[in-house]
Amino acid sequence: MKSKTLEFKYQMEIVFSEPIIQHSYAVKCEPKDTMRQKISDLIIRIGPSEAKLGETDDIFGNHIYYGNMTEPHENFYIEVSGLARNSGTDRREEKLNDRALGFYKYASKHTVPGAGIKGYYQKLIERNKSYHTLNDLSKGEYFMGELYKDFAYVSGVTDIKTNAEEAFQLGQGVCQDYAHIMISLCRLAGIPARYVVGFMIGEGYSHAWIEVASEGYWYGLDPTNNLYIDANYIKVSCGRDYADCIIDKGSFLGNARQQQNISVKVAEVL
Amino acid sequence: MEQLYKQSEVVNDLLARYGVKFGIYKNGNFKEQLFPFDAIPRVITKEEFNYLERGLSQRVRALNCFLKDIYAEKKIVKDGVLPEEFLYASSGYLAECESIMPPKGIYSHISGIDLVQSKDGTWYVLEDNLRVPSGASYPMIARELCRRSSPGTFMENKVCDNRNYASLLKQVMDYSNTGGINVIMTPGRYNAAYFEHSYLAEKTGSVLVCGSDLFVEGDHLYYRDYTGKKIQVGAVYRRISDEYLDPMTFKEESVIGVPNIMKVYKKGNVALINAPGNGIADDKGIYYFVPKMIQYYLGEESVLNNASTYLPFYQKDMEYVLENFDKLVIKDVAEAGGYGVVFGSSFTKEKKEDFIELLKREPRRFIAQEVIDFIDIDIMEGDQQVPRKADLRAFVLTGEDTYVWKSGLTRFSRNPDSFIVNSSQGGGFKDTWVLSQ
Amino acid sequence: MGTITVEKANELFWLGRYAERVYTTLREFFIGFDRMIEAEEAYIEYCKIVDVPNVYESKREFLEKYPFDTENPDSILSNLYRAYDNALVLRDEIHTETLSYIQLSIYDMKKARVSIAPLIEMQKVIDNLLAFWGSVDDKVDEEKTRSIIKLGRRVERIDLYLRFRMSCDKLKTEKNKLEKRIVRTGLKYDESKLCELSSMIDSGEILLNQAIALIESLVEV
Repeated sequence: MKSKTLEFKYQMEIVFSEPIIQHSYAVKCEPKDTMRQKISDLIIRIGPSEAKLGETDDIFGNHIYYGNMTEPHENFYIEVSGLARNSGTDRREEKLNDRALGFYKYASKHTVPGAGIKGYYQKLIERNKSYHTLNDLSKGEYFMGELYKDFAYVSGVTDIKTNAEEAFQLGQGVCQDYAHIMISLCRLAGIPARYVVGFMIGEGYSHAWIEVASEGYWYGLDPTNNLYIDANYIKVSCGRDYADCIIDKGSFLGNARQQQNISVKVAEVL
Repeated sequence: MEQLYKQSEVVNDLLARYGVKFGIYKNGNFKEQLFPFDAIPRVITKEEFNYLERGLSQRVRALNCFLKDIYAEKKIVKDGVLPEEFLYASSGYLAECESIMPPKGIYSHISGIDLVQSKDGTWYVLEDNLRVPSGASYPMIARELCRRSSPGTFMENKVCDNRNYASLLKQVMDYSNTGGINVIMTPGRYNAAYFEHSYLAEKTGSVLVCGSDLFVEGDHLYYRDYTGKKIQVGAVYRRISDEYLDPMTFKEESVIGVPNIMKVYKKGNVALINAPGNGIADDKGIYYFVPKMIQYYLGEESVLNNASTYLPFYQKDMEYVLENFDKLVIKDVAEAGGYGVVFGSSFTKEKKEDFIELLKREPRRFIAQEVIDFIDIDIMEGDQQVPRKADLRAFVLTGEDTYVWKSGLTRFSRNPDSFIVNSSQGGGFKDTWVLSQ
Repeated sequence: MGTITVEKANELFWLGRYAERVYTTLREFFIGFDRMIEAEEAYIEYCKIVDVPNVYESKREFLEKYPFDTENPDSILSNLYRAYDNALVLRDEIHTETLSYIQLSIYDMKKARVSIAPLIEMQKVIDNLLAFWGSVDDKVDEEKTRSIIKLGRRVERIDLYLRFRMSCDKLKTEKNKLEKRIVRTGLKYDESKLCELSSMIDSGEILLNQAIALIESLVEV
């Protein structure tokens, strides 16, 4: 695949039905340079403008913008735009950091395997005669291919609280569910795996996939599409599972109803 | 001392007067209940306390070293003393606390160590509570009222005063305070321990607050008074659990926390008492390693005994557990309190086989312990003295020094057949005397 | 401490109001109860005097429910529980000692409920409430905090005296106390309303509903 330069714009707006106050937020929306992607021309706007900004990093390497708006306001928005120059040949995302590897080896809240996933894992490793000769990345690729066949993409049957085992039992779900089940399988196999949130060319929403640790590096796999992460993807954040990668967390005072609009535009710059 | 026993009712009336209660939910309704007090104290001699003091102080110092290490370099894992999975797979371990150094490097400011004494007189540590251990206020106020009800008893017996708890707590808060006022943060008046929260606030001169009274601005934590003035907060003795502390870091749906308080904490601009993430040190699986920690961090032999514990995770222990299954008590490390505790002898043959299957499949999930036959302490029932099971929660405070409070909460079970001494299950409490001579 | 939130200011104010409501109502109940010993229908008149809805079918029902029925929001015990609810969350401000007098009042009201001579137990409630106010003066060191509770007491007393149609002389005394107290609290209040109420009481021409509306909306807490 050839290298690509992608222009991206993420817009999220929440409209409140009446003014709210004491609104606190924490936002993880900043894509960073990896071995595969180089970010430039980055502009991040969080508003309305009276939002007081603080910044920090979480332990998974994500940058967080946080603050609070005490005055009444009726909307909240995040805009992230920039350019990503993505390699078409280097699939490596990042060098492994031994110190941080422990987080990704054991089941996290959303990825605890139940009887269903454990049984499926047993079946998968018994079915493939050469399984034990594969390296960790190839094992991940194998799980991805099988899961892609056995699990159906259906939206609306699961929600953001659905965990890996519940989704597996349903046999249906969305990218978050594919990623959780996949992480659960990898960790059962002793392969460190992590959850990734990002954007994909041509999609109108944010997307989720996973990375596996193999031979010194993190590599991205997209089980929803049965693809290696390549020049078409922009990584935004990562963590143990969905809960570590929530783009916008917020709390406020008021009885307002919320309407959230999200738009993601990713296009190749030719 | 007989004189004091006769005053039991008087003391209980006084406790009622001062609203010494705990809250419980029954069929979805909140009810306040008096905490029944038994006037026969647990008496600990000076020599015995010296021993306990050495052991408890050592234990808490080691646990603080452990927490400091585990959220930073993790030497104890690298050196092979603690297997990695016991850390990362524990629900008490919070990755969000990685690399945060709490003010003055203290993680467990207030530690509640649960002990029992076996019939041969040996003390055993059953549990370390390093999150939000409660209960110190009860013996503290009970002592005050016992002295009022039976002054003669305290003239005849030389008992160390335990009413200094509030000033010890205040010293701990002041020592860790990063600049600003001290507050005690409660989930609200419908919490089981609300009496304690409000009483300790009164006695330490701290401001009693709910999460919604505090807010983060810039890199600091503030409290807003009724005239609109902002007041900086330097230490929060929080009586809510980690997962509710900060909706922006932990459970987003929490309405009793303070959004972004963890960011302020991470920058070193407020002390959280106790530090978030302490749950890793009171995990049932980690308990097994505490004597090893004492050896590892302090280079000392553990003064106090753990109950003999086996980790099926280790092959040798698994063999022992399988051979001696019927005489052991098995605990699920994922469950809190009295849940997930089963006696090996209570299984039917079929259930036992199923359980052993589970144990072999998930060895890390369980620990097995020898059953301790612990001593009874008398309580008054009417005008009769009858023996009941009782445990002891000792309180260890860590500020500039580590200090073992010369008292403790002794809880007893009212039911003669029960080993469960939990207050929400109808138990009562006693004063704990440490003799000064 | 001197650092209290808006919520706490509100709780202090209402603690003062409910404690006063129970106290002054009990005083009135003593007089009414005495009449009811002989007069079967006296309770109807009593309800009018203290401005509570007469939801009772008989003297017997009245004597059971008006003082003690916690389902009835106008009962004396219901008002005492409201005082307790506010006091309980103020332990650190008013101190355990002060709180204990509200707690003791509840115990004594419960004893009165089963007593053949309820006024004897109710006298203890009155004693406790007087001790409560003594303890507020003695234990609550911060002047503003203390003043907010006492302002609640003053506001409630004028409110009740208006409803009970007490004499203008009594109202004048209470109004003077209120005027002195209100400035010490640091709370926002409507000066024009206070003036209007004051001149109404001074002139002796009191329009009852208007006066009650003025006192009820005087302070913003």
